Amino acid sequence: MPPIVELRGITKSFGGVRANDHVDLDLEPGRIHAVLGANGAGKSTLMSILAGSYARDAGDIRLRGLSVRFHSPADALRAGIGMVHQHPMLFGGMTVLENLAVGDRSIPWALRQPKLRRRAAALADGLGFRLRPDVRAGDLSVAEQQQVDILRNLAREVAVLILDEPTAVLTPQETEGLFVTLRALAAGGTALVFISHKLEEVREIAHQITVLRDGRVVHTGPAVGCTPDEIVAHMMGDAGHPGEASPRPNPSGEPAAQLRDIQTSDRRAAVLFGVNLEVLPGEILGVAGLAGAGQSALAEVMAGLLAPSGGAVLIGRKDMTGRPSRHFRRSGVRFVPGDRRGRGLAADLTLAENSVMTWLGHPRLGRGPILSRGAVRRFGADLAEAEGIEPGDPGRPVRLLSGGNMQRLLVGRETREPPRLLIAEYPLRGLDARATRFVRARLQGLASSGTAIVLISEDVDDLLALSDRIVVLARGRIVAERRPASTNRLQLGRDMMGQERGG
Amino acid sequence: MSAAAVILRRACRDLAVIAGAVGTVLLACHVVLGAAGIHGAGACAALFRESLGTRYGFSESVVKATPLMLAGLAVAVAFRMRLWNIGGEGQLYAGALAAAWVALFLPRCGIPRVMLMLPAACAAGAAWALAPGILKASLGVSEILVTLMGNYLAMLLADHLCYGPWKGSTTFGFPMSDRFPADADLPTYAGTRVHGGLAIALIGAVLLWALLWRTRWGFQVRVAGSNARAAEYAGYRIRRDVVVVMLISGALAGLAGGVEMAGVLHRLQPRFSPGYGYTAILVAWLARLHPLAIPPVALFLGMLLTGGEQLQVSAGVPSSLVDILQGLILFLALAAEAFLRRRHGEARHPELSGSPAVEGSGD
Repeated sequence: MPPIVELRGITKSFGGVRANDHVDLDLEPGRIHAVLGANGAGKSTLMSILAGSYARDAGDIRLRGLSVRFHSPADALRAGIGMVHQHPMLFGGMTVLENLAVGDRSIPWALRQPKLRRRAAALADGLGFRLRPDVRAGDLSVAEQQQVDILRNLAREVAVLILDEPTAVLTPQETEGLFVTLRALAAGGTALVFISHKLEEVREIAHQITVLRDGRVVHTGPAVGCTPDEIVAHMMGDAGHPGEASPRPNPSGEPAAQLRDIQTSDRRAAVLFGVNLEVLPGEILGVAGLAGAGQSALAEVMAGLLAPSGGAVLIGRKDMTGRPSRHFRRSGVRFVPGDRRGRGLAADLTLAENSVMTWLGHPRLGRGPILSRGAVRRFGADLAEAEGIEPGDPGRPVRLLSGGNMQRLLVGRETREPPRLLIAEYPLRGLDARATRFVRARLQGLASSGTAIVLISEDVDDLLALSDRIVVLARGRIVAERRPASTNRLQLGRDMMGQERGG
Repeated sequence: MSAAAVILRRACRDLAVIAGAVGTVLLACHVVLGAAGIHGAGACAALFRESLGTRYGFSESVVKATPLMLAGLAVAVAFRMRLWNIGGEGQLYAGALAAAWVALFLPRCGIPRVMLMLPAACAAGAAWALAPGILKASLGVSEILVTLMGNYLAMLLADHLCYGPWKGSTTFGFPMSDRFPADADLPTYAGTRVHGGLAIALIGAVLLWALLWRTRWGFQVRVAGSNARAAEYAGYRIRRDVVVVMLISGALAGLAGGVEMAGVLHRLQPRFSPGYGYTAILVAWLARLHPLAIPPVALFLGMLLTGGEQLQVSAGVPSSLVDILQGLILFLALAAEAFLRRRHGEARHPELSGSPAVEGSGD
């Protein structure tokens, strides 16, 4: 059957970074096409271009052989391309039926609901959904919301349906139900795009597999006969070398920090289910995982910013569970947050003011309650010079700094004196080569001087190069512990994607 | 280009903007008031002549500016921490009630009553702001709603006292208290109604500036106002600081009510404030929440109020048209200020740019 959608040479850059580089992709009616790739491989960008959220820089989208250009998701939807998001985008305060009616201009407003009620009921029956049209969407389970999101697209008679990690929010039983639906849709002639990190699922449901790496298509072909190991190999590239043996003395002594059976129940997506962890003085403990596996919750629990709902946090021998973060700081815990502007810095304040933000009690800054302007300025100027922040004007607002220089400021501030425990969340993200070397050397130097470091990263190479030990976090649990000397990218990749087999 | 040339060019540009704003005001007044048969530009000029040009007018402007300064400081300190205390009016009334109580009912004791009235006003204003502060800090209840409701509570309480228990015996049946005893008066300057509250307000502005910009605690408040999540991250005691800032804010607003009692009115009247607590919000924003900018801005607003009153008396301009005139002037002052700031390369009010930009996200 001829493809209904042909993507040809799709290219998209964000600030000099190529998110998609000449990507080709064919979607055929009645087929389920899985798109795979590690974090940052370009899957979401590609799908956003297809669904009309982003404009492409170059390349062509052909729909039924005709070149098209979408200016908005509504545009794409009118053309018959719909998208179901990972977190269903519904109006929680409106009923299911009202949600289905929103934006559907094919029927006059007054007739919309009765007509939709019949149409949706018919569609739902065909897919085996138990539709509750008059319930508020916010009161439905996530799986039901997803069904509504799917129905909303089907009611618009889409020919292409993109599902962005639809199973990430579902239980195994709900996933089975979704697969029944997807097969029914494919049987009815819809072209489906299925994005997932779970290789078993992909092998179960997909007809066709395309793997992206660094914005390029590295593999495309039928799903039959494609083993999980092959897929991981495509996603991760070559196996790479085992990590170099650490030149530092072996970490030893009592743990600087321990997590015991930590649970978190946050309303935000990522939660932890019974995490046990310890980190020794002088040790760099790498934490690997796909985005949203619970890294942020882990970091915030260790820094005292998120109180766990179960379990205990020990800093040294002291039980710090439930204590405010300033007690953690007082015990020598420092945190370089991944969200630099949102968490780590006050962007409207000056470089100097940001440099003293976590050192307010420092005697250099003034007597008693007084904060000396000049001392703050000197503090900032010293830090800017020591860390090579450009421009180093202490009176400049931090928001005018580049991302790399913000990171230098943040890392420099938190490691001004070697802490007992440093939690570094994505410390190398977005840095250029020089800044990367700088931060890497800083982390290694700190570990040599006895600091325990928890290094959270999405870059497996960084973890292999820097860590003494790597734990892998997946869906809120630690699923594996590896030594860099005896593991490689492929094995970590399998761990991160929840592959049970050892390697 | 040399620095001096840059500064000169900027100054020229700023002057052009200001001239443009003044011209627009005159034109707008001319059109709007002209429709009502009044010479608009002339009325506009008269407004400023009445409030600036005469000794009496200027002193009256200062009298009106005094409570605006204190209440403006109250709003500014709270807004600095993004606590939207719009209960300045209620806290002002609470302060006035406490001051009036001291003046009316406290038996004579060695010290002049005015020395006790002002601390009592501070305490009452702070108490009025305490409940919203605690609710905000402990339960996250919106301080906007609670402080706003506090306004009605305080105003109605003042009404009740004036019509009921505190109604004077020498007021010919009018709903107000008796005049306070003489030792409840603030000193005045040289035959005008300008009183000691002005000095208090100016000192208050300097103290508040020092507190926010020269102490470790003030630094924490400014960080919390710039990015609350960063303040939490840095380990500041934000909940406690929320309550403390609300107390300071309430105390300053209460003091505004206290000096109005002791300095100007010398008796409690219902609805004695022409919305000082609300106008103070305008003062604080126009001063960009900077304590040292508040006195001049408050004086500007005081001039508008005084000039408007005089215009009604001397030129017989109806009060509704005076309100329109004041609104036009204020509107264009705000527009010019925003325009000047944009020109100087500041995209937005830093205090307003709330949502932190999200850095690059992965798939």
